[in-house]
Amino acid sequence: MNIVGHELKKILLFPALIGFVVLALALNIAIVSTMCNSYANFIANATRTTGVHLGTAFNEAALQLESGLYTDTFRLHTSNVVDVLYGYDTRYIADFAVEWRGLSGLNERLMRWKYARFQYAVDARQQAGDSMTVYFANITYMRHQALFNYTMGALLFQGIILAALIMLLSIGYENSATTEYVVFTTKTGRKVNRHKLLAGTIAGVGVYAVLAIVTLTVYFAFNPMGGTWGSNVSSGFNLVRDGFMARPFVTWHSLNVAQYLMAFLAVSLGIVLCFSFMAYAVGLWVRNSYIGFLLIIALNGVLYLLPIYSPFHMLSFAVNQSPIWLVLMRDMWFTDGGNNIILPHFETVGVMGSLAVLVVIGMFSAAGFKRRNLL
Amino acid sequence: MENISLEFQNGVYGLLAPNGAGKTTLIKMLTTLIFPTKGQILYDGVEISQLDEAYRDVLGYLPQDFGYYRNYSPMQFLGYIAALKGIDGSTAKRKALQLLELVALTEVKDKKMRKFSGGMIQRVGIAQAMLNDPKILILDEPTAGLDPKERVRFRNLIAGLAEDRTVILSTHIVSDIESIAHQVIMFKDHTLLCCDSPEALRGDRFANLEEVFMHIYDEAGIA
Repeated sequence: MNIVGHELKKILLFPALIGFVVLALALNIAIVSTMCNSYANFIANATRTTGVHLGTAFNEAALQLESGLYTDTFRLHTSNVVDVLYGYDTRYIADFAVEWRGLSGLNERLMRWKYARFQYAVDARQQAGDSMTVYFANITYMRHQALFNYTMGALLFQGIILAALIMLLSIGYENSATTEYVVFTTKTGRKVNRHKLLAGTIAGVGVYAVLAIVTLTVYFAFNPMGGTWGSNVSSGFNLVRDGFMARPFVTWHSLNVAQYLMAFLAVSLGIVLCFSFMAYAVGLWVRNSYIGFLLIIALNGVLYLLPIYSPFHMLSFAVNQSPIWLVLMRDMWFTDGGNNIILPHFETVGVMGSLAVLVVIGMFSAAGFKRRNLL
Repeated sequence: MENISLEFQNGVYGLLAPNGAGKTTLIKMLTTLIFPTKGQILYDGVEISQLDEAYRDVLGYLPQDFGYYRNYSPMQFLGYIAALKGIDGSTAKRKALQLLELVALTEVKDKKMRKFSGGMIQRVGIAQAMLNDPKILILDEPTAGLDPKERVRFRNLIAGLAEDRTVILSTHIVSDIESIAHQVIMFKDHTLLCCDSPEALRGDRFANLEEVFMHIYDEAGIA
């Protein structure tokens, strides 16, 4: 077995880790099994017949549906639908954001620039008919939140906690087993941390994948998506609610529900990686895993509070793209991001930027560890 | 540590000094765990920090507080350390079996180490240090926690290992090194006091090394 294999074995045999994963899975299964909604199941099934694009053909197909408890409600909410993106002007959101936050100068210009660009996305979604797709009709917001805010959010929180813990346990393993002197004086020496980084990353991502696969499989077993997979998430029925207004859910790019789920998982995975790398850097400075974990909580606490209390808007905008804020703003991923965000595609920029910063910090930490006296 | 100049050849070197005199600090420098603020440590004329893994490849080390994985068997633990020492799987297995036989642990090679006595753990420690057949074997207080019988067996084992390598054995127990050390190195106040053979240190004045030790450190008031 190579060194990475040994390190993986050490991680995966941690009883606390196994216990955490089992508990997380039990919790997720309990939560998602209570999210059943018979009307949503009806829509998932009905859209196999009607398709997802609203209009005359949709209405005619809806009329052919077998009469049942939800048929009339469904027909009522999907006929005579007005395209909410028609004439939708993002300047009003920009005005509101500028006024709400008291932006001026460069900050104001950047906020207005973002919404000027976002107008093109809105127009494109409208022209492509994305906003005129059914998704889950009048319960779209609730169903979208159930999957992408609550279920994926729970997965994300579990994923980042586990990724950080796994990496800290891996890096701090020799300290807790008092084997540092033996391990760091072998030929591999302190370079063993590279293997630990790889093993910790594989384990962190792997555990997140297991949690996601099991949880989503159970979710979709209880909450089938049926024909709605092909509906666009920028459906006129969908909404974004943040601190200052509710508005249509519009993504920068056209994404159906299946594509949005894949993109969401990719960003989630990026954030899980961020927490792995964060833990790696912290673990190299604080050799005790549990103290390291407390430090990560404190660090993210500071990152959480900074934008709230910082008088500098630009600092707030930058920190709002840090991993912890991306987790908290998950219900706005791939949209404009509201008044907390100044750049388009904030989730992608945030993940890539955070990863780059954390890789550099990790490299500096590793260089520091290489020359540190191990007393 | 200050003003220390030492040169090691093959054979057993006993580092003898009371606790706190700097034995472990010197050993940690020799094993690259800490770095000297001044001066150099050379191996074959090259600074050991420059040699990096090439130096550690010829190094075997048993620390004072030898840590181990309680849920691992000796075979599993040696397998891991062998991987860290860059030894391929089949060689590692063969070498581990040989060493476990040498330290009389063959019967418990697959038993979890959590139930091992202090002596058995120390023997696992010797085995892991020997896995790469090191040119330099450094043992820090290796007999700590061993009963007298185990201590004798351990001394014999070390004497056998020292034929074709440098063994640096740190201890504050004089009898550990008296019979096996070719050279005895003593420290006082973090400086080198002497480096000579046990015979030369005893001279005509002292009956054994213990008397030398007591004489030197009694004078300093630290024995």
